[in-house]
Amino acid sequence: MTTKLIGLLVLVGASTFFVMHVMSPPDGTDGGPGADAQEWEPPGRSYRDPLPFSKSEDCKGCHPDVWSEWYDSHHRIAYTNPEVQKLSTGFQGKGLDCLPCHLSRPMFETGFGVRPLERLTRREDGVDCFTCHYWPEGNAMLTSGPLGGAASQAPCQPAVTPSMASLQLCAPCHNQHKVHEDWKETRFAVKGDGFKDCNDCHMPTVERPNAAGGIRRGRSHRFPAAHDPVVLREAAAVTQSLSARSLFVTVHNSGVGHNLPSDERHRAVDLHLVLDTGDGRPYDVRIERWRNPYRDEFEAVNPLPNPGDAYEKTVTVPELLADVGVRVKRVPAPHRPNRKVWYPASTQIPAGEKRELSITLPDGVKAVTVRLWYRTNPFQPDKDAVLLHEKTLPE
Amino acid sequence: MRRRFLSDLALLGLIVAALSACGDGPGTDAGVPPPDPFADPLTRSLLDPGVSTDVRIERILAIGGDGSSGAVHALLRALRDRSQAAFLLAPDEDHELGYRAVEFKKTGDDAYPMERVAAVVALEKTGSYAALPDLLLALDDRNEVVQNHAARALIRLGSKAGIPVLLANLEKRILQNETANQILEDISGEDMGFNPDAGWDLKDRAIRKWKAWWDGLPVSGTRPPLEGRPYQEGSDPVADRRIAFIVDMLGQMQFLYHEQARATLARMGAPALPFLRAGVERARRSGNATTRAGIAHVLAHIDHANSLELLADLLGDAHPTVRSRAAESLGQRGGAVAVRTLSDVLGDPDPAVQLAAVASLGRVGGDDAIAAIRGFDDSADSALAATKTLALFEATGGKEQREAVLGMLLAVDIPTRNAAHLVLARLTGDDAGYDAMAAEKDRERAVRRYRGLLDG
Repeated sequence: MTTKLIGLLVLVGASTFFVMHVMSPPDGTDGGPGADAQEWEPPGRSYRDPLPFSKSEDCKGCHPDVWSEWYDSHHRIAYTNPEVQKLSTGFQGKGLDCLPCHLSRPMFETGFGVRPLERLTRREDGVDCFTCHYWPEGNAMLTSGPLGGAASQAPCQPAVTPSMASLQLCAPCHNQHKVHEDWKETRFAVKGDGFKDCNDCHMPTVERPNAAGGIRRGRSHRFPAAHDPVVLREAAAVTQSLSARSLFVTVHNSGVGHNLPSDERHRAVDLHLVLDTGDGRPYDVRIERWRNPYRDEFEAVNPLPNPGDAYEKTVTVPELLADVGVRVKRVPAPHRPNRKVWYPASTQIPAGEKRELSITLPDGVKAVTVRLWYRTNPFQPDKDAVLLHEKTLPE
Repeated sequence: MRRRFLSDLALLGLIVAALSACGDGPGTDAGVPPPDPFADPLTRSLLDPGVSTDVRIERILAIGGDGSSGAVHALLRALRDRSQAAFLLAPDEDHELGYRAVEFKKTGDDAYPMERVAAVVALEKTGSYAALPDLLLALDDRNEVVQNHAARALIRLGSKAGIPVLLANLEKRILQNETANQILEDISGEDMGFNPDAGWDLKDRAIRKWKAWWDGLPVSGTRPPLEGRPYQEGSDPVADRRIAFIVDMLGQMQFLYHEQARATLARMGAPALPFLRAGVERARRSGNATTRAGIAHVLAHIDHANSLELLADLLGDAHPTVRSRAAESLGQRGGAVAVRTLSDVLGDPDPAVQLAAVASLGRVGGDDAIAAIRGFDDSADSALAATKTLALFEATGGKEQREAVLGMLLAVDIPTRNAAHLVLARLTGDDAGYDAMAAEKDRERAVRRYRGLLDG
């Protein structure tokens, strides 16, 4: 009953907001976006004219900094990226379903919370300016103003809706992989000083010069995430200690607002040990892999379904004809000690959780190097992966 | 003043929405998980982890023949397997169609194929059309024996969608091919002499006979003795609601749900058409272009005159992606009507729709299609010129634009390579060992291979 009441209130509120701030042509009779209407309607064009633009390049003239950020982002190469082309089998067959989020038409066309549709053209632009900012009635939608002054003459007819900052703008694509659901389980989703949403990390505040020679604050359109080594290295904190043959390692999802790696099934985080026996050869062995398996990996199970669970295994180092003994424990996050992972087969590390590994090294190991790798797909070799952490013991 | 009040109300709504979105996590209501829609005693008894697999199988088979909605509901839950289901239909009286989608997760209860076989057999005994969508999906089960039994159950429900699966499974391992043959014999009343213990020469001979039987069915007009009446809208209210719900799933957010809904409806064939038509109307009323675009994709696979009619309707849709998908589907259907219609679509104001239409004309081929492609103005978008080249190449059976298309395989950008490869593979029936990520010298090998195939 409470849910329905809240739902009704939300519906009424959101609909009213939509009508007041978005649907209605501004009439300049009161506050809000409509206040600037008479000023910002370009002379000679009606408010409902279509945008006089057809591609992101057209935005560059007035917004060169924002455009450059986007141009260097992975949104721009969402379609052309060779790795994406490979993993989606060229967007054919089963990969066809990847297309709407990698070559998206405007989100405002299909609506928040609904999957977008694909556009087929301007493939080199991937997820472009139009995907997020294009309002079909003929405006460039922004999160905030001002809309007066020079902006009132802008040919893109800017309009404002705070819903642009809503997570529901990102969710239709990024929650395909449950990233938003993961976020909701974190301390970052708790209202208060520690609150952070998608925009705080992936669209951080930046300052850019404005046309008048001053500085204007805005949001980065570079979308730092899994392809940014600097951001990646802040994701996990690793500690290690060695006593005789006993190695103790912790991997802590300390810096991510969702699972590590995120619930994009291709991603993988691997803990490796490189064993040094003094013979001059490195013996590299993967001790643990954290990821959400592909749907057809039926054999995959998560041995740590509940916080506090532990399991043991041995990892063979074939070249040494020796085993590494491993005991892994799932240490819950303080803010949510009873957290369960969304997919039972997933071994991802939820935000705030730790994995404690008690490792028994084989006889004869003189030194060990602990490495944590981030791979954008599970088949990625070390040379293409990002090394998040490396430490050799004894020091 | 009134406007300010409404604006404040709107803001309040958004705040509540945001708080609600930041609540206790997925699928929870103020920290209370939603009730388990499969917690009824019968369903629990079929999934009971506290008893042996044999006991669960006995329980499943024991309710076969009970066509009540409760029994069918329990059996459908027992049937599920992660390989063929992204979502389950859970009863929900708050939804107008009486269901909500629950994401299916691997929990360990999907590990035993014999339980799923038992569920299919029990569902077949119920004769309930409510099971039709789920049995169609069971043709994708990761275990071939489950697929085979689903094919048999489907025949009784008037659907031949499982027969190609049975034919394919004849070429699989023992037990898989044995049950496929047995079920084909049951369905057809024929014996093609397939012996699972024989060598592959003998088995191949029998497989060829089965394929000839299947190919001859439309010509002879013979109905397999086991074949039931195809489903008709209105004959079972539960089936109607389930199918309508699956149509609506084409407009939801999760791509896995789309995949499942599309596969189910495409396999359902002509009986799905009235539901798709109603789905288009519902989606127009609600403004859901994603549903309409999903329906346009499904229609490519339903070989029926009425599906062409619905495609023609979708070609006039307000949303460009719906139109472009309808054009793609029309190209897959082919025929003179498709060429005429697609030639008109080349004049669509949206370049994405033009692109889909010109590619589709290439796929259909023939003199009229070639003339339309030649006359097409490809200046509206950078992707159009390459698409026109590929279309002309395909429409002429590789006679024109050959070197241009082979050159695309060596292009710097991978999308161009992939687009060329797709057309070359379709035309030659060979993938030439092409790998988009391979080094240039490896791709040159694919070019030589394709050149040889085209010359040959």
